[in-house]
Amino acid sequence: MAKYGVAYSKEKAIWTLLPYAIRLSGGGQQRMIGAFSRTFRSNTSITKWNRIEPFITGLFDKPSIPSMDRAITLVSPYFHSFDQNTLAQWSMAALATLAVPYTEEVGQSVADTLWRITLDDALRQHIPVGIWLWSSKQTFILPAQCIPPERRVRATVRIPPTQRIPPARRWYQDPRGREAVRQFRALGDIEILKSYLLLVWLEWTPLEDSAFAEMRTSIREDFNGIGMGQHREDLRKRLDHVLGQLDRGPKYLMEQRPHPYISCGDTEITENQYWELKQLLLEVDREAMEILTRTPSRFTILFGILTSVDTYRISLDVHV
Amino acid sequence: MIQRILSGVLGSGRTRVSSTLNPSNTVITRGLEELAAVSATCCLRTFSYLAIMDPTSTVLRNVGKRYTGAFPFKTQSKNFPARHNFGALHSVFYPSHKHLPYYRQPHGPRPNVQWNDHKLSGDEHIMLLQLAQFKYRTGGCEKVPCWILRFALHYLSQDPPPPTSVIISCLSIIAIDLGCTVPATGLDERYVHV
Repeated sequence: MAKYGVAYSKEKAIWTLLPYAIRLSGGGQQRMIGAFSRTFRSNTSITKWNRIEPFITGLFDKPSIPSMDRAITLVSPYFHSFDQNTLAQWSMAALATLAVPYTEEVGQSVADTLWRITLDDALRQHIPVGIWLWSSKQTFILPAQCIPPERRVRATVRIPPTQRIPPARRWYQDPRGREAVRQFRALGDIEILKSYLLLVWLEWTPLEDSAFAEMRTSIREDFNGIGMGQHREDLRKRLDHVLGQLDRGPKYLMEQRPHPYISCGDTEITENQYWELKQLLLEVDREAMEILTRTPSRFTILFGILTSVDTYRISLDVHV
Repeated sequence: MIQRILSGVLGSGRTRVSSTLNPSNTVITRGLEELAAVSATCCLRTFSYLAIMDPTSTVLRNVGKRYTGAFPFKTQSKNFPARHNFGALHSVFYPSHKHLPYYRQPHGPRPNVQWNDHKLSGDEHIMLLQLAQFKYRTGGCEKVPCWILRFALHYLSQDPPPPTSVIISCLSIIAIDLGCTVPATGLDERYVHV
């Protein structure tokens, strides 16, 4: 089943098994739904059988049952008709599943779904902060499953190397596009913006030029200043992590996650972009430090006050 | 025997081909609807058993020829009792033409078996399992036809679930498509070889 061709030709049979796997999952037996999730993650060519759509939609129509939380979380990457209600239902199920020790499949599924929802301009702002906070703490790899089907279909068409367009430009509605970055900036929540950047930087394909420029602007304008030190540190760590993976080359990346767009040229461009973002973060960090050191009088006063308070406390403790 | 049963189906059914109106209406003589329905069910049951016992039988081929001679490709059986069994028979004798080049495929919409309103009676699920095995072996592409998989999907999606024997049959259909060996002779001793 793990082989590309076999799974591709048997996708309907695998989809047919889903309702039974979900029923077992509701009864506490998680092995089949886990195997189902793993099969689909390792075979990115598998597309959804349209006959299964009513069943998946039906899962979200039912009242939320705790025993079904895990099943909903694992199936949600294949549900493409999210609205505010279903998003709320998914969020509750995902947060409940993430609250207990969970497997890698669950983490990947939440990441996949989150990625899909970021595609939708109307839904982006309704993603709960809890999900963003969770995603910002993960070092998972986004599987190619998160690539929309239309992008995958195009990948099967053989295009001469000279006519190839950078992948990000083929996809009009890119969650890593400039508009998406702008919208997240407009939300005005630095935690969400950081989580978004942490999520989208996990992709191994190059960023669109305008989105890249918007991210640079965001780092300069949103993440500057002394108070943003910890956020910059988190962003830098994520960039280090991804750069470390990109360093290992396309062969390693393909082993980790079969991806129709990874090529030597792509990884090189991505590496350069991420390296530039990292340098920019370091620069903003330096600037913040310079501002701190340029205002000795204020700093000295503040330090003096703090020291005196501490001394006072210490002295009190000693006397008591 | 199967030819006699098929004669019953054919005797009660009259095909009328008209170029101006609906091109292929199956007209059942008034009063013989029930007989046609029972005949179709019996025909399908006998065919499925024979297909498992002797898949290379010449009888199967003859029956196929007689059926396709009497019922054209576009025959619809939407409002007919036992339409599911008729649909199944039709799909057995008119296999999928997707593998053929476009110009060789029969024109017009292909009648599809819809299981949405199907109510299981008796051992129909075993018939479907046997047909799945037959089509998997003889279809040429080692695949269970989509309409049989849709049967499995329909019953596995039901809430409350169907009887255990039906679930076993549905899972066996999936197992056959995934390349497992499911013996269909001793149905009480069914097991799956991976």
